[in-house]
Amino acid sequence: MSTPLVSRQQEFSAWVMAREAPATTLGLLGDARASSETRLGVYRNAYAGRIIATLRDDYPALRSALGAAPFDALAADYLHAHPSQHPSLRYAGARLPAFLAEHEAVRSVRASAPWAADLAHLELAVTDAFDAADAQALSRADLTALPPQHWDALALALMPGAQLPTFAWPVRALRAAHDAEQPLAFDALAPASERVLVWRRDERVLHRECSAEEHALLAHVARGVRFGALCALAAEARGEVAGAAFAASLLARWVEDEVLVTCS
Amino acid sequence: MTEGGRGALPRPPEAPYLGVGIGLRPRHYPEIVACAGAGADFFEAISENYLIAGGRPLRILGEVRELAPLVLHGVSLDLGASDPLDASYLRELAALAQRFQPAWLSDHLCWTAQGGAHLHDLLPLPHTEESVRHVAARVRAVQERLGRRIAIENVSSYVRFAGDELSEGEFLAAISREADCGILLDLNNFFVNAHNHGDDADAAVAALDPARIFQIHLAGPSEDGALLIDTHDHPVRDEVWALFERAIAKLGPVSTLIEWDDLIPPWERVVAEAARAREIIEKAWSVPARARAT
Repeated sequence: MSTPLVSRQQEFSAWVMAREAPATTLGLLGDARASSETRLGVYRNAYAGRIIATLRDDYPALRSALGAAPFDALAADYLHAHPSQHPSLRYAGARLPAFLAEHEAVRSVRASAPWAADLAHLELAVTDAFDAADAQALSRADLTALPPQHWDALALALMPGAQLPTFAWPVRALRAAHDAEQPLAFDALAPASERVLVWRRDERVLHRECSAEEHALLAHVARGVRFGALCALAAEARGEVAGAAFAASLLARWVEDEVLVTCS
Repeated sequence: MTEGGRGALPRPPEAPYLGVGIGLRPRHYPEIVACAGAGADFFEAISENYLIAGGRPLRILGEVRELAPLVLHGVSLDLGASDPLDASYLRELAALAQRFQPAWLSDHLCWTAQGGAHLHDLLPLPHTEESVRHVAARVRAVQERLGRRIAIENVSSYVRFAGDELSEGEFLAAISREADCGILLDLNNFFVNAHNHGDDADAAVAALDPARIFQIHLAGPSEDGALLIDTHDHPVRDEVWALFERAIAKLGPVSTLIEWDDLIPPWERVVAEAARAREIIEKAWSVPARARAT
């Protein structure tokens, strides 16, 4: 139903979100202190400023790598294409990696910084892991207490929020350099496939590179797999004995890293 | 002399005097935990910052809740919007309140989204009878969903609509009456609007029913040309301290919160502002020192 209030809010939001300020001032009142254009401009500036500031916080390495002004221009393009759809600013930047990878408006960014979408993807994974659900990590004590006949049936699952992205560019180094307050050597970056595990441990988000074999097995764990089945999967490449030994070594590392959760 | 004596006006039953609190911000987490919350009689958390699945923020909020009373203050209830109320958001907010048991919840008298797009700003409503009916109905629906009264906060504004029928104080008073809800009285916002629009901040306070005032907010604005902007990035201004003294003298002890959202200073400086507010209240009224009702 269209009422004066609905119409006013439609006009007001369209004015605030428009790329270029429309000529109309929506019948709002100006006075000697400030014109209606100046007064409306406060809302326009706040809208873009607040969301772009959030994107700066969410994608700090990408901002460092692109430079402050190019990043802000990218963020403005993104905001125009993808207005926030969630009550929390936390999710305002969730579509930036896909935007960087696919959108026509940022073709020039892709040409000059072909690693940008991968870096954005990594940074989004870090944000998502940071406030993912809490869970009890599978511990060495859990394994020690497990009777040998139950090992095959041991259900494995990844920590909530853990992700397994694959990148065409070695972008972990960029984020790691940013976190260490080191210069980002993105000029010398060459394409190189990188399979990554991102997860949270002790309230810190960690990421490390995995071999193709480990990454594939972790993908099975992400879908839910029993240890016996994991051994069988490892055996396909390595044979039964070596496969079981490899699966056991991975399990030990994952437990040490607190990548897995306890399953009932 | 006891709290509420000497002519203090009636307090809302669900909003007892908690003292002077401080807005919970991640920058201060280490200091708050290290000093066990000393300096704040209660904390106010931004609801949206904790509508998450897990991790450090929720763990810290749980620890803070053990130190002092907590209130939840939202920015996205969208009480003035024309989009339907967000059932998912309300469900998450109800779950957060169930988990952390805040003394009360509040949000703003404004709209923030339209047609599914969230502008993440406290956008102004025309002060009309239509707006009163519209917002009051939504507040009632929220209160029914949460099973409790909420407090609505007056916002700073930079525009006024042709055809406004009510003053800002009358507008807030009418909605709180029609919705039977509480009021979060932001004195800085009344001061900002007095500057920006030539309103009378004292008259706006006087228009409100004291029995509905759950809480007071104090913050500092910034200047943008001839306008004041509600940025919460400066100390409370002297004019707002004076307005606070006059309001407290009339209302009695009201739970008061110091709010910073940007250029957030060290914990000690915020504690000093809280101490100043506490001194003003305790000079005017006899209240239990650093009362910590739970």
